[in-house]
Formats: sequence, C-alpha cells, structure tokens
Amino acid sequence: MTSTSGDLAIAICDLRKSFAVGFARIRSVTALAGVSLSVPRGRTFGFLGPNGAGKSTTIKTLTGLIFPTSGTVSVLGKAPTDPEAHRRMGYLPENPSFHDHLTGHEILTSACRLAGVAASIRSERIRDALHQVQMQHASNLQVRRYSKGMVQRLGIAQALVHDPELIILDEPMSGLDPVGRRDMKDLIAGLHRQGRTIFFSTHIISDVEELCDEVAIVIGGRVVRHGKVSDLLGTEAREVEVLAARLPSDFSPQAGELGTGSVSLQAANEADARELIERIWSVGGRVIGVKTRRYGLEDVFLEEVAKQPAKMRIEE
Amino acid sequence: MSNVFVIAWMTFVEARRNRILWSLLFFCLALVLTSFLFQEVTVATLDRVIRDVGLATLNGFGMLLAIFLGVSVVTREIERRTVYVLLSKPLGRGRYLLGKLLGVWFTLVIALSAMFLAFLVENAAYAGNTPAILFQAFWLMLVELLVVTSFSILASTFTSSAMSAFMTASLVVAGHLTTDIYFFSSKSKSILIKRSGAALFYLLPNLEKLNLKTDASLLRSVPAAQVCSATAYGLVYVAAFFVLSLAFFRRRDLK
Repeated sequence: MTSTSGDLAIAICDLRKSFAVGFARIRSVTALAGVSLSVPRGRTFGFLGPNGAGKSTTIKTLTGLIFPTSGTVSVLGKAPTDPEAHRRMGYLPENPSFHDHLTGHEILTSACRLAGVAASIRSERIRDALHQVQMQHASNLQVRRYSKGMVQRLGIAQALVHDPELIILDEPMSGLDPVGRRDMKDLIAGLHRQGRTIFFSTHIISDVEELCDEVAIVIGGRVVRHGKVSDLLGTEAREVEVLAARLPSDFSPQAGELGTGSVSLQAANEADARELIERIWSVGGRVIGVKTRRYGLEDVFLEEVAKQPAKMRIEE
Repeated sequence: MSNVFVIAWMTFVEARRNRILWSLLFFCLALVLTSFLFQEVTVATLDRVIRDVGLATLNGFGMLLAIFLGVSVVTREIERRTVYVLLSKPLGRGRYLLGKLLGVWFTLVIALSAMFLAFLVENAAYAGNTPAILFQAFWLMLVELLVVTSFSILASTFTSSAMSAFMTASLVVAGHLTTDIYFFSSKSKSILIKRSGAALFYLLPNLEKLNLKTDASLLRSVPAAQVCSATAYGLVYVAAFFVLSLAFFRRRDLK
C-alpha cells in the first residue's frame, strides 16, 4: 500500500545540498547528494548513519535552518519555513544549547509563547513537559548550572511543550547516562503510542532496532537503505553456537574448550547447525545448549558502510 | 508581533543577568557620581565639568554596550547554536532579528536611564537646574545607540563576532567624522579619493547629527524640530540596516 502525500509527515525528494567552502567560496562540499525518503504519519522513523553522513544537514533542512540547493522538502504538507509547520513540529537539535542566564522554566515559557500556546494552558503544559523529562526539581535553576544531561532533557522538554504532532530529534540520546537513555526510550515509545510521528537521527543502531517502525540508512549524503525495520532484519540466523559435552578429542579442531569437559562449536547458519548437532549425537556426544545470533540492523548497516567508498563527502 | 517581544524579553533578561553588564554599569555610575572631582584638574566650572564627564561617560558606556551586546546577540547565538531552538518555532527570521534589536536597545535604555538619573541628581545638586537640552541630548544618544546596534546586528549576520565588533567600532568613528572625511577628500586632486569621500559621506550615517553633547555642555538650547528631524534621520538608517540584515540573514544557512 502506498502512502499519499496527505498521509506523510515528511516527504523529501532528491534533496541536494552543497556548501561553499574556502576563503574565495569557489570550492564546494556536497553534504547531501540526492536524499529521498518519506515518513508516514504516526510512525517512529530512525535516521541512521555514520558521523558526517548528512543526518543533521537533512534535519536542519526539515526545520528550515538550512536551504536546499535543489530538491523538494515537505513537512506536514507544508514548506519547512512555513510557520504552520513549525507550530506543529517539535525539534531537538544535536547538543542543544540555551541562553545561559535563563532558567529552565523561562526557556519553556518562551517556547510556549513562541509556539502560540494559550496562556490558560501554558502552566499545565510546562508542568507536563518537565514531568516527562523529570526535570521539575531544576526548573528554577539557570541553564548555566545544568549538567549536559539536564540540558539535553530541557531540549526535549522544549520540543514537546507545545504538544507537536511531529517530533524531530537529532541524536536524542547524546549526553544522557544509562538511566537517562532508558527514560528517553520510554518517552519515545510513549509518544509513539500517543500516535505522534517521531523522526530521530542516531548512530546507535540498537536504539533504532528497539524503537523504530521504519529506518533509513544514510551514507555519504545518500539514502542507501530505506524500509521497515522488520523487513531489513530478516528471520534467518546469522551465526549459531552449539555447546556440547562428552565429545571425542578429535571431533573438531576448532572447538573452543569451556572447561568442565564442554566445548563451544560454531555453525554459519541453521542448516549447518542441524548437521553439526546430528554429528554430535552420532558420536555419543551431548548437546548442552544452542545460541543463535540473528541478522541484525548492525549487520545491514555495516554491510552498507563497507559498500561505500572511504570518502564520504564529495568535493566538487 | 508578540513573538518579537518574547525574543526581546529573552535578550533583555539574558543581558540583565550578565555580570559584565553590571560591572560596567557600576563603574560608569561611580564615574558619573564622582565627576565633581575632575574640577581639580580643569579650569571649567563645576557644573560644566559634571555635564561633560556625565554625558561622555553615558555615551562611552552606551557605545561599549551597544557593540558588545549587538555583536553577541546574533553571532554568539549562531556560534553557540541557541538560535536553532528559537528558529524552529513559528517565529520567522525577520521577527527574530527585530526582537534582538529591540531587546538590546531596551537593555541600553534601561541601563543608560539609571545612569542618566544619577547624572540628573548630581547635576541638580551642583548646578541647581535641569535644562531641557540635557533630555534632548540623552534622547538623541539613545537614537544613536539604536543606529549603532542595528549596524552591529547587520555586521553579525554575515561575519564573525570579532569582525563585526571591529566594523561597528569603525562605523562609530567614521560616523562622527563623515563631514571631515568629505571636506578633506574634496580637497584632494585624486578623483578616486574625492569620490570615495563623497560616497562615505552619503552612505554612512552622520552621527554628529545625533550629537547634542556640546550644546548640552554649553546649555545652548536646540529647537524641538531639530531633535525630531535628527530622530527621523537616525530611524531611516536603522530601517535601512535592518532591511539589509534581513536580506543577509534570510538566506543564511545555519550550519
């Protein structure tokens, strides 16, 4: 089933962006070399790529901070610079920064007022946003006294405080400790359950695998894979480890000794593992356990990275 | 329009809590209040010393602050990336710049008004009167600071903090010397120098039009019409600098 443009929260078609560099501004660096992707409403979409792949540039184009060299970008059916798109969108930049001498509460009040949140519900929204990121205790502290993780949480709160339908998060886990990362994952999962569209960039593959419905892998300014996470993963085991005991000493030279008479044997796939288990039984051995490692997003990602040339950015 | 005031308020609060501003303010306030001590080293009368030192301190403090705040509000926000969050809201770059301009100017008005009040108290105590020319000079000083602030914001939309500070300081110096530049360049035999001098004279704001400090010092009254026309003159430059800032900033990629 194909999505119509009305169902799409984000539609990007052949987006290209070059930056002039050097003193004379004659040379240019291509950051995006034809990114195309679409994000249906209500999905959690992971934008995965190595450093310098073009993730932040794409996101800044979505938020109107950077203008495309060519191609089209639509956010909630509007141009990225349209105030209506900004009203319905929340954005967390990578490593967010705020005015040092303002308090967290003042930052959120300003965010509400800028987004046009009615005065009658402003306090409630601020309270909810602070509660969502667990920052109630620090709301009256000036931002210069915040830790990196607290600034990140405040960044998330300001992205959510006006109750947006599309939330764009650039590296949301950055700067968070393990507890903060867990909280952030729960928050994203909760927002997804509320039916919001979440578009987030990361280079942490497990986060995408855990949270996203769809993923696009961007490398060298191009989307190299795009689809549902379940479609990309597949069901076939990639590697199988068989733990066995009571084997004759000449059974397999590659067997790893685990002590107490048991050994670890590797099989490349499930068919090889079945064959290996039958051999173990045929020599009177005993199978203690079988561990399978499925084909993960990390494997897809690493395969794609390996296919790309070393030079990720193209200089013209 | 309310979004403009949100940005202006944020700029004002951020500046108000900055310790550099307070240190500078207290230093200048102390200078104004102790200006009577300068009589020991001049031949002028005490009331004139108070007016000269007071107005010069107000002007110097205002210029320093206009350059420091004007340059930092946009360039620093881009460098520190605070601008990303603001511009992702339904604000628009024009309103953002206007909010910044008003926020800086409002900060200057508040800080200078506090100093001007101290100056008026001291002046009334020693001179026994408060002539209107002091208020006229103070008003045009604020208009001049608005011109300087709008130029510093213009410079910061396309260059670095250091370069915009240098450009703004140069404008202040050249703006007070435009008539001299025109006069001396017109005496030159070189057509290039003549034309460059004329171009600078017509392009740069003549900040001397906004300078009534000498009149205030000598208690020379100035017609209200002159103050109004000087205000209009300053505002035309503010509008021109703002339109240029917007033209640059609207097209700028915030990497």
